[in-house]
Amino acid sequence: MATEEYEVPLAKLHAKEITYTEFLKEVNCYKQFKNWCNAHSVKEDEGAAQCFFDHYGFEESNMVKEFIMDPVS
Amino acid sequence: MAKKKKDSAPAAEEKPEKAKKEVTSENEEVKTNEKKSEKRAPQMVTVNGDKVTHGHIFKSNKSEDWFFTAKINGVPLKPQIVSNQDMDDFMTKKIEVPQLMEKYYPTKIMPKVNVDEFKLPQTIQTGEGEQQLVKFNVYKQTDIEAADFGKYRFYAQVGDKRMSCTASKEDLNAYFDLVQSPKAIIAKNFGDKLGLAEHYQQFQLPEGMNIEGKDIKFRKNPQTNRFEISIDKPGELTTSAKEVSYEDRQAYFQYKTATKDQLAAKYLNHELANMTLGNSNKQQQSVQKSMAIA
Repeated sequence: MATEEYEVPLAKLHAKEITYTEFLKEVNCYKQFKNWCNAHSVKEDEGAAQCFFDHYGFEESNMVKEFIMDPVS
Repeated sequence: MAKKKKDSAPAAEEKPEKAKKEVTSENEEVKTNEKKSEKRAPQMVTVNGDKVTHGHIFKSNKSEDWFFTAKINGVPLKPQIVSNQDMDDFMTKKIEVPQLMEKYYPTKIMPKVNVDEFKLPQTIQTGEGEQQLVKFNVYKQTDIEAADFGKYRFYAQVGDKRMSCTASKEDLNAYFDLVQSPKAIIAKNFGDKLGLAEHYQQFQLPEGMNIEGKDIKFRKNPQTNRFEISIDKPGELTTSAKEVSYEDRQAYFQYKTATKDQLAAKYLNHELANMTLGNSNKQQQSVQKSMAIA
């Protein structure tokens, strides 16, 4: 999973300017999505892309960056 | 999903090139190796060989909730809300990352099933005999009138039977992380509709209550003309009578894939658990009373 900036693609997704599939391509996660589809024997369609998006928690990316505490190892 | 945050990244993860620049003595090579060896080891390695790092608890400044998150092979995981107790225990090192992973990301650390088990079609041994699992998929409920609007559902077609149900978070994660095959999910969620023996194997009467076959009453109510199941252990315990569904009756009478014990457990375990809880509360009150008298 790449860790690029998600804010702009997320905003585009919320504004329905791009689809979930396009979002995954834009954040360089399409290959992982494709691998996931292959492993699960499902088609690479928009429904599967949304499922992948929801499960990986892209929506929560803003929350994680707002650390109050430093990471504890 | 965590965004890369240079200022919060652990110092030990800095690149070896930087470490090299800091070395000025003649033992440059030795010191460089020492710096390299400082790279932080994974907090845990799963049975699948995946490396867990960056496991930590943090508080979002958007709410009062505390969250746990980690990375697996460098991939950030979706943050999960943790209880205050777990947060305290983690901070005081009573529990560590493996325990939190086990609790909040169980499917990330379970052994994965073979990907061949996800390939369709497959055959399933149902109550009616061998049938083909034609289709299995996950979809989001888009009907705004539906009670589970916006939630994910499982859909399966076995033979001519088409079934769907709302997916639990646990099952969805298990499917997503490849730790449960479509067959296993079908057995759990649609097993009664297909008369699968695997479905009924999950129901067991509580140990310690010594409930025997003769204590389980499975009969037709003459007033309602419906089949009901109950437990009657004279002088010890009596439950209410619960109506048994058509599918479960088929599994018991026709397919023989369910036993009376399993059906009693399926319909009455909740009531039995409440009885146990009630008894333990009564015992506790009795002890407290006798202590007060003493």
